[in-house]
Amino acid sequence: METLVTPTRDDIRMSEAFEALMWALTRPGVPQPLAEPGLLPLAECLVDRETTVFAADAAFGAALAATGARPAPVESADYVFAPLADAADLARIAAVSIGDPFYPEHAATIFAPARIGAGPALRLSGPGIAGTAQLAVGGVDPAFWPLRARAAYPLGWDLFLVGEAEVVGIPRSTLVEVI
Amino acid sequence: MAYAATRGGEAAIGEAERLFREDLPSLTAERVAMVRRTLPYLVDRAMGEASLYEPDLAALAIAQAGGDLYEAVLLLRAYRTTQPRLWTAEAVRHSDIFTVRRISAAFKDIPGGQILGPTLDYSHRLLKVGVLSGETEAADPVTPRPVPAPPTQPALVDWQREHGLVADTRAESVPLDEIPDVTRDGLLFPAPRAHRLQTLARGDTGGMLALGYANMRGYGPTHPTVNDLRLGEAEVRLRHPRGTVFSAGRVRVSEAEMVSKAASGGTLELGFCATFGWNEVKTIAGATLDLSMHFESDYPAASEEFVLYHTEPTEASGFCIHFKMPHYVTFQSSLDALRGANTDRPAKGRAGDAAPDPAKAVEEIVS
Amino acid sequence: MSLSALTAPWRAFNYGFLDESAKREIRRKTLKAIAVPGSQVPYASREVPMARGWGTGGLQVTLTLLKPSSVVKVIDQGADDSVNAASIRKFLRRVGAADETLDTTAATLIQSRHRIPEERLRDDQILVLQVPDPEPLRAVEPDISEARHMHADADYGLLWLKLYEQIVRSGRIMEGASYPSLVNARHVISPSPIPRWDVPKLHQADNLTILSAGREKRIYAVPPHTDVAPLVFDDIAFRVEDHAQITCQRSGVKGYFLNELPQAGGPSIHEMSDSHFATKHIQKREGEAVTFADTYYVNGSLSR
Repeated sequence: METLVTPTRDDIRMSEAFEALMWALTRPGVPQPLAEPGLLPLAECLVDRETTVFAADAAFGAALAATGARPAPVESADYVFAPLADAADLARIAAVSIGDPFYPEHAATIFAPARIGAGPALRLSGPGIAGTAQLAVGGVDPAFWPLRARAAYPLGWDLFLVGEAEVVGIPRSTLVEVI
Repeated sequence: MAYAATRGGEAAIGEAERLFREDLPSLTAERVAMVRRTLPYLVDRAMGEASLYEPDLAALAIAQAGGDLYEAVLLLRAYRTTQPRLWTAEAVRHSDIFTVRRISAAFKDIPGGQILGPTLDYSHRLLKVGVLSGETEAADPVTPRPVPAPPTQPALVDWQREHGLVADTRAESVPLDEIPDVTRDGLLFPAPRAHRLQTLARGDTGGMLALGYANMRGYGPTHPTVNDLRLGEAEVRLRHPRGTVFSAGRVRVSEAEMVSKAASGGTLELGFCATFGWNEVKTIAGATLDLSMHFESDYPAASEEFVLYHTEPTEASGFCIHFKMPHYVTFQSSLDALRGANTDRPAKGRAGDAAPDPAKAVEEIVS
Repeated sequence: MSLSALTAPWRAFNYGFLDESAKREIRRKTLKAIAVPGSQVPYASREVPMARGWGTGGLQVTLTLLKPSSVVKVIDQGADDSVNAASIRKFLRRVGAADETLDTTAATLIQSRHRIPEERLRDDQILVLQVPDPEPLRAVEPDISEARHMHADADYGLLWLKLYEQIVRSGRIMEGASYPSLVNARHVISPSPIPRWDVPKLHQADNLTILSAGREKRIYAVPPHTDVAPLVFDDIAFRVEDHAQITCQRSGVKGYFLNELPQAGGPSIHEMSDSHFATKHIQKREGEAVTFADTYYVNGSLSR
């Protein structure tokens, strides 16, 4: 008889967290519900001792340490957990890696807290979007978008905006216009 | 839970595997123990190519695969991937290895001495056919030397370095946790030195021999000499979180260092290969390949990418046998283009003035 | 706290076979692949209990995506019953505890070798394509380091030259399957050895397609609603296989991609390559209730 292996509770949690991220990046601008609130499960399904991380918030950084991920300066971290709320935040984010032409995947992934559905409206277009999509995002300094657009595709940041109970993905392939 | 109904394909693969297994005796712990005890060099080779040191598992894999070594290595590799990587052992130096055999072809004698150790090198390869008619072949006992050779040996390269014969490159100190692991990272080129040596360590003995031999015959930039070749046992030393270093056991290892004149200057260039288990032909070929990769050269067998990609036992054997799988969709697609070229031929001039050449078209389809 | 409180009970292997660290790596690389459509992302590619070249790349992605509520379909050359598809399905059953289906419309996760189903995939379905050779430049530049430079520069001149030479020599483009295609106007991919018939199905699709090469250790993706353009010259149209007017002997249906079966002493007969799609037509004819999705091709022509 064939063995059936059933998932553990952790297997399910990690699979749900990843699915939210995957669908968020596959359908830019469409909020994906989170089974568990907060950044930690999203980080846990991706990072471990083989990755480097930067956390703006020291307490969150300490929580991340349990994954084995190695802390790194913001400019060299693979995964950056930091807000985009004001000019000081953006000054820090400006240093984050956009990858290099030979290895565009070396660009960092940014996780930033945001208020999904409340705030300035954005128009998104690009892969994953049929035509254009609209998204209102609060808690992100509008100056972030031109900063982001400075990277020439295929270089650039892959961004997850994390709300109370949902996540929105904005891959570097998405064109973002503030409207 | 819904299963797709078992149909012809699934029944057929079940029967095919049963046919294979029917030709072999039952798999038992005794059979596995017999493989481990009687075929240690085969077990070593499997452990090296699997990059998993566990003689019982290796013997099991060999028995389970009926001696098909590529199958055995795949079994071990697939087992290995399910195991967590918990810790990184401390580095082993040449002079740490409990050496049972150690020779250099570069000098008549060397510091520490030439130690012939266990080898068939000078045996006459006469098949002991008497065994088949009932004779027993038992080895004569070894006569111990009055003074046994010391358990460890210095590295010849240290002497060469002191005398300016090899460039004085010191190993860069990398924290253990940050040593790149080719089983955890993609292999990219130019490869980190760790990736290159790890890939050679788990390379296919036969494949490495073929490409190493090509180098030795002249399809390569070097004229290698065995600088230091050894078989021995190395302690697997782990650092306890409290700071104590302890031995978790010993593994059989082989290592070879090959030298050749450097491309410029009056020094020697070194190539190195080490692997789990006692497998001299692999380490000599591997060290030759490593040595050749240090040189600028147009020879494929001296190209890091060419060598590392094509001596990967699991990838090479898997891809080779995958051609048995049905490819009728791709074939149909090519056939359509071929027939199209034939029927389109009268309507020429569409894409320039040259007449289409069906022979070329066939060549392109076949390629 | 005791040590046993910190450790999970021993199991021979995890749900989905791969350990969590392998899955995390595939998740990271899959996200990067989605973010840069068509860009080949290197990954470690663990060994799995199948030989390299037998779908290990697709399998690692499927194993990472698998969950108990998944409904999995596995096809090889269009057929669910092909021996290797049966083997992969059997393995997924052993390690995955998910539902299986032969019906494209019922599947949430489809692992396929060399075909995209004829029925249009939806936005909640994921197609995982097995890839033997991810490098579209391999035929013109076997050195992967050089090829990487060419991708970085979007320098696909040698590929164009190859196609041009085929036209000059043979009067038409001679590429069969694996037709090189430009994704999101930036990266040329090999769409895996799907026939040319299937390449237009990737263009502005509703579903996510993940392509994974286990032996060559590369993951790449075509997200939904992404431009995928086979490389063609302005004055020479892309041509799919000439199958639109041939009838399937099994189902009596025509207008889809076919397998040709040579007959001793006579010409060939043809059967639909998407075997379960043909079966559904037979079931329908026999009065069974079957569900069809819209198809990419209608009456043998691409439908948009």
